[in-house]
Parts: sequence; C-alpha cells; structure tokens
Amino acid sequence: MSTLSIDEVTRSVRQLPSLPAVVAQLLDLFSADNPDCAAIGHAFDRDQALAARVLRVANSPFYGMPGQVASVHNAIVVLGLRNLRNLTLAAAVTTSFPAFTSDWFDQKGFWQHSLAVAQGADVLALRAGMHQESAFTAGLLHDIGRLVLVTCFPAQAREAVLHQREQDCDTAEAEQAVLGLDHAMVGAALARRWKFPAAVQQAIARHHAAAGDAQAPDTLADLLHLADVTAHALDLSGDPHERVPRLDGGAWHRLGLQWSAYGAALRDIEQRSADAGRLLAA
Amino acid sequence: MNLIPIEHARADMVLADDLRRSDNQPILASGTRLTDALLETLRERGVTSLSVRAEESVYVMDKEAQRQQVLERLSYLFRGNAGNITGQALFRAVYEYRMGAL
Repeated sequence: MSTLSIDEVTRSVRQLPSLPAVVAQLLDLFSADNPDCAAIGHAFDRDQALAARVLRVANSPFYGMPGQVASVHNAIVVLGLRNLRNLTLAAAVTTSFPAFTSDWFDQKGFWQHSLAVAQGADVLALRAGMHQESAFTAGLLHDIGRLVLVTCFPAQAREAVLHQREQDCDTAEAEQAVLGLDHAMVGAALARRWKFPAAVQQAIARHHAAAGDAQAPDTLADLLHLADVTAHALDLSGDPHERVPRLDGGAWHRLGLQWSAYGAALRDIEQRSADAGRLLAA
Repeated sequence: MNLIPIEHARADMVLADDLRRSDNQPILASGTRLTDALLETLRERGVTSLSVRAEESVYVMDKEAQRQQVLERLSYLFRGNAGNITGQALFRAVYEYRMGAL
C-alpha cells in the first residue's frame, strides 16, 4: 500500500502549471452573448502554437475545406464558434502535460477516451436539454486526475494500475484501495486550480459516484457518468482489457432520456469521437 | 490478416499466408483465392483454420458469426455490470446499435 494524503496531492496540484492565460481569455470570449470575432483572432495571435494546432485540425478533410482554412477568422466561418471553442480547449488541455511513456499507462489512449467522453457528453447534453459547453468541458477533464497521479506520483499510480489489472476492477476502486483516494477528487482539484466553473469541478469529483448524494443530485455529474460509461461501452480507446463501469440507475432516470433516443445518439458519438482523435495526430 | 476457423471460410476469400501441413509442406500459396472445391479438400485434409486477408474475411463472414463476435465482445466489456438492470438495458442498446450497423 502506498497511500497518498489529500494534502500531498493538493500541494502537487498547486505546483502544476496553469493553463495559458490566453486559453482562459479565449473561453471567456467564446462564452460571451455576442462573441467578438476580432478579439478572438487577436487572442490567438498571442499563442501561435495553439493557433497553428487548431488550424491544422480545421484543415482536415472532416470539416470539408482541406487546406483552405488559413486564419482563425476562416476557422470561425468553417467550424462555427462552438466547434472552434471546443477544439481550442481540447488543443490546450491535451498539450498541458508532458508526454509520459511507460508500459503501464497509455497516454494517447487516455486522451482518446477523454475526447470521446467530451464528444459523448456534448451529444447527450443536447438530447437531455443541458448546457453543451459545460458538458464538453467536464467530459474532456473528467479523468485529468489520472494524469496528475501518473505525472506527480508515478510509483503509486503504477501500483494502482497493476492492482486494477490483477483485480479486474474499476480504476477508481483500485485507486481507493491502493492510494486511499481516487482520480475524480484529484481531477476536481486541478479543475479548481485551472479556474473552471464550480459545476464542472463538482461533476468531475462525482462522475464515478453520481448517485452518492441522492439528496443533492447533480445532473451534470449524471451526464458525465453516462458519457463515461458510454465511451467504455463503445470500446473507443482500443484497450483489449476495456471494462464498462456499472451504470447508475438513479443517474440514468434523473437525465430523463429514453433508450431509443440514447441508441440513436450512439452513431453520432462514435463518429465524432473518431474525428476528435485527429487532434492527437495534429 | 485474420486467422479464422475453417467453418467461417468462404469461396472468394484470399489467403493471407501460405497454408502448410504440420510437416511444413506447402498446400496452398499466399494470395490463393479460395473456392468451394478447395475448401472441401482442405476440410478433408483436416485443416481447421487459415489466415485470410482481413477486409475480405469481414466482408464475407456471415451475419451469424458477426453477431456472435459482437455478443462475445460486449459480454466481456460489460462483465462488471452483472445484476445491474440499467447496465443490462445499456448492453441491449449498444448491442442493437452494433447489429444495426452490420
């Protein structure tokens, strides 16, 4: 056993780099009632690496204008503001941690899963009448605590991964058994440090135990839980040992979705997740 | 390349590898297009599996074999949802989606 204290983890989270200020500025600009496209263009001028990455994806055949999106302004026209906002966030977050290579943690598979959950949360939020941007953000960040543990406490994180494989249990369960805490709580701490909204922080903290507090249900946590389970059920991360976490009945019923509508959304989720994976190659 | 049981092999599939006897003597060369007569001969010779080009094996594999494959993978994925009614409903939704796509 290599338990970690909450204080230890909190100290490590405080030492992690912030997201670039330009990303926070861009998210604010995108969420304005009448987004100022010129200001968005100027903000991208301050981070050319981010702009280049976003434009590489905008120029992929998926968006229908390969090689023709020369500027952020073009990207706004071709992708639309909401897609550009999500792409920008994904481009920033997926490069926020250094590459980590090991035989026990697949960082690319990790991001593939995170992008799939972001896309799934976005699609399901539309069906459930919920705020899609919050859903996408929470989906993208839902497992970020795993990356914190892997980066800051690799020996302990490895032990938890090996325990999970030996016991064939869920990741959070293995982390609780080995570390005494799990990635959901750590991820929420990082989302707080990165100044994401409180609703997103809370949904990340509760995405494995959506029904944990039946007195204070949290539909964003419920949605995130369903999107996470869905990404596992669609087998999207290429893990031969994939395992679908238990879907919580309370979370499902609170969302008010019908199985037929859910089934009809699966193709969209699968297609968009495959497209989102292009970001990792850009 | 896809190693499949001979029961799933069909005429028009193309061998991805040389097919050899247990003493390594060649029977058919890689690239050979299978026919019903060849398959019959292979069965008589006791061949139980063979490697065919993946895209063709998927194309020709009959629906029942694909259904079995989907069911086996989903049962493995959902192994942690035993006794969970909502999890079983999710299983059905994903199964129907996969079968609809075949």
